[in-house]
Amino acid sequence: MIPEKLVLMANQIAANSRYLPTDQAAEMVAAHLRTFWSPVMRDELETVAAETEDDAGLTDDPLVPVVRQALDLLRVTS
Amino acid sequence: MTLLHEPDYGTPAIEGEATVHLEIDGHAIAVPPGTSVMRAAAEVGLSVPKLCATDSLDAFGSCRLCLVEIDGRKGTPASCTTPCEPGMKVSTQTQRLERLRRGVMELYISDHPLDCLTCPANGDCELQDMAGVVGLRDVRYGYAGENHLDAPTDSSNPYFSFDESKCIACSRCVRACDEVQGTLALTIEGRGFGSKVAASAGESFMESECVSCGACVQACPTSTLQEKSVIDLGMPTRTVLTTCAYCGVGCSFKAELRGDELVRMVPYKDGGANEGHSCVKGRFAFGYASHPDRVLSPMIRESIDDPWREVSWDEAIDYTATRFKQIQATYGPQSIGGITSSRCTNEEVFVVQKAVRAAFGNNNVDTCARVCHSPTGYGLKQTFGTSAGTQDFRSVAKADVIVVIGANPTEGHPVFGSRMKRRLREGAELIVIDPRRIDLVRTPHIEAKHHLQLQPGTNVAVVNALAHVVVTEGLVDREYVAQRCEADAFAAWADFISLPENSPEAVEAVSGVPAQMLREAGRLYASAPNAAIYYGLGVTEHSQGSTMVMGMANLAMATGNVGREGVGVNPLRGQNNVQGSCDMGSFPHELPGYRHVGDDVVRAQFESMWGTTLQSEPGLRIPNMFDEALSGTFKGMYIQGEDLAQSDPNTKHVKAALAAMELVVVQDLFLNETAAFAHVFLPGTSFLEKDGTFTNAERRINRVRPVMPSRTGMQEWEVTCALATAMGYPMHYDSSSQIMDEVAAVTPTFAGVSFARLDELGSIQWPCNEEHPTGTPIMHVDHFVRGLGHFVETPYVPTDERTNRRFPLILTTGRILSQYNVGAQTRRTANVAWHPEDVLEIHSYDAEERGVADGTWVSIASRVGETTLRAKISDRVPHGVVYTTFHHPVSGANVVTTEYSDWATNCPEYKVTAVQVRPVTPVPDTAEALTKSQGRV
Repeated sequence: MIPEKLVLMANQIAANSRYLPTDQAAEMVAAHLRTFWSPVMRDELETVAAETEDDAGLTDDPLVPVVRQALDLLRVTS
Repeated sequence: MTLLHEPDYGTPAIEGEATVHLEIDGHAIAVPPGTSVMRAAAEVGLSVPKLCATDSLDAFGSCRLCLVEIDGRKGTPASCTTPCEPGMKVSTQTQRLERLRRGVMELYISDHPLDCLTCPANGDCELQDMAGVVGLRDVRYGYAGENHLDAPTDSSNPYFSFDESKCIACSRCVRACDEVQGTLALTIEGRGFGSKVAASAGESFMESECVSCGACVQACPTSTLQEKSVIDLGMPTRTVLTTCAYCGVGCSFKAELRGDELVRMVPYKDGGANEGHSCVKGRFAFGYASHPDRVLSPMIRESIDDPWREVSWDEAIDYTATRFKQIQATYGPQSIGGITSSRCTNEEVFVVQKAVRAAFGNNNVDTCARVCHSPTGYGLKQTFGTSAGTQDFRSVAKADVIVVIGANPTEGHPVFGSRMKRRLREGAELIVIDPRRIDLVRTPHIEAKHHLQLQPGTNVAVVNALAHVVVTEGLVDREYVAQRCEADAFAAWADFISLPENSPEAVEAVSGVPAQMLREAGRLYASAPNAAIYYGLGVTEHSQGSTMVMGMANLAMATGNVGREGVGVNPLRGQNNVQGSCDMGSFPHELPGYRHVGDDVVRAQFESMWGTTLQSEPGLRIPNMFDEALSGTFKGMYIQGEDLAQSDPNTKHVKAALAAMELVVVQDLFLNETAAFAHVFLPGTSFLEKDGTFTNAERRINRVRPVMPSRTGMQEWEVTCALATAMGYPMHYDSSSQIMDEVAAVTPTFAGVSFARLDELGSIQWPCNEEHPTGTPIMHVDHFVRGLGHFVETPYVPTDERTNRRFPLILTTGRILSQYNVGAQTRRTANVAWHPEDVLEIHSYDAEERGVADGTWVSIASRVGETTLRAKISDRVPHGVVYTTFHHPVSGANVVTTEYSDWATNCPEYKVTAVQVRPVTPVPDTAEALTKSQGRV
């Protein structure tokens, strides 16, 4: 996959869960990725997250915090 | 099956209890109040002569042939306009009546060509029949008087002619255009003897407002309005009942043949979806099936730069299977996938998804619904519990307020559009939510109460504003919500929707819709006894398509508008079998019946039935497959009946992805744009050759019966089975009926469906099971499929596709009546007479600012591509918005559309593309290509 596109898609899911408290939003994003994304897409998003881990929480971070939190949840449940 | 002459009861059926008892020619009968004497007579098997009456039209009483005598009444009233009354004693056959009827027929025949033996309608002419019925032997007036025998014939329409000399001025055509089609293109011009049928203001049919639906031809009792195919080939002699393969209305048709030659398609009166009506595509545009461009033999080539080589079916299948297996051996089991088509039958789709899951060994299967109604599946499942519309089409007749959102029924779903217009003419109120002024906004006898002409991309803001009005002005149906919906979710949603950001005043700023209009529209919808929402791709093809579907479901639940006739949330599906292809398990995360691949119990059932292990993780969607192809991990694709290179967004990206694959297999009727990137071409069958079922937008499963043998020698499902078998997974069925039996065995909503049951009932709307043995016209009646309805908060998130100084206009796309999707079928028919090219509609302000004149060529450029179209200055689009259709490959609308997509489903955001438009001179290459393409009819 094209990393930028995966990031865009994941952030888009997070943006559409913004009405929820952060924890619930992360759960919703995680559930969505688990239900609709193929494992290869989830793995590639994980790769992006790992490669940009140093930027986590900073303005340069390509991933919004809720997506990182969702990936944490996916790691726990997988 | 011979259905050439369906019974005609003369006047429409009246609903209600049969409480009126009367006697006709000694036969006792009871009918509902309001039933005509003519209809009552027909129901007891008595045939009253008639010419101006037919049961698809209201009684008119002009021909004076259906006269009857009624005990105790003076005169001889027309039976078509006389309602039955209790205790009536009617005589339909007396000497007096016979004399009167003969006299009437003498007048008709004195001004009618006596060319029955050479007339195209010989044997199918009601005037000829009635002359026989009344016993006409001579005409006392002779034939030398003033007459219309030299009146001209209008042959301007490509499909039918109007021979005025044969017209008896019965007005059936005029009334059909008014009552059935709702276009009101015809009229009776002049008075008395000079009365004649005229199209619009005395124009030719082609120049007039006529939409060529064929209702007038169907209604004509003589050969005045006659299909040219009947004139050329002769009257058909046999009929096969089948289903149209164009839009999601799924009309039933009688395919009428003479020997093995298809002469005409006639809409079937008992068809549940269309009830005897049709549009220009289904009625007339079937010639593509025998077009010389059809490819009938399999072809292969090593490289897409090589010429095609015709091969046997065996060689094609072996080659394809071997190459797919080699790719999987090299790149892994996930490196190939398949795409099912909404133009194929349920049975054909079912076997493709089965082949992918069982023979390919992965879940990389998707369908063209990905790019149209996948948000419908997501949104309605989240809120109501199932991925389908709530109503049958007939339900619109009970709606008091109709909301049309992002749909253009009179162009895209014309037969349903006619139903809707009928209800609107009866007085239902209309709200249109669309950036473009569609015909429904203002058309004869119809005017929308509100046209919410929103900025493209702001649907969710607008639906939230409507819901805000409902909640904050106390218009919630509290009793319905309390009984039918989850209380906590409703409370959270009500808090969310009441926020100031969702108020009409706040939404006006982003949507451009005046706050007062939003408030009035919200009140109108909420206060109606029955309010129904109908929507199309203007809802789904957005970055928030799924959110918008949930927003509409929220609105309907909050006002109690789900679960009975006249209400509901109704997707108007684009293709004939979008619903069916989704039902059959075409999505990479769902097995047939919308059950997730991760559900161990469900998967075990399929594994047991199919004798293999299935993957428990979702596969790739279409856009994901393209991206993986460009990344080098996805290498082979089996494409059933879809032209990805023309229909999917950002065609440059799509073509690059296709070119990056090692094996592209296209199964289609024609060498389409995608076939340019294919290594294997497997010829497909047209709907006239298929044997199976389609499921339309109202969940109606209809039989598709073979009108002629497969021209390729194979059914498409047989080809798929052969491929799966060659790949090492034996797959065999004796018939398509056997496939449906397997669908029924593994899909609870189809449990009661079989070909035999369909033949018995005509059609079935799923769910069809023990609880609903004859199907389910309206869903969620007592409770939602998921139990309690679920409100979902729907924040408005603007799309990332933004205008700026470089791309200051928003392009949105749509369809036109005469063409269908990418045009592969309709461009190969005479329908090109109405739409030879796609044009760009542009507002006069935007045109003038750019120096664009009407009819001149313009370049249209987005961030991803550029194409050229002819400009049409129009006030249908607002300032800042341009619009085009995507029916012609040469104009390439999808060259400019981007890959932004719905957040939940990846449905592309076709409806919002930031563009710039500029005039181009001299006339570009496109013009030449366009001219050439027009010559392909």
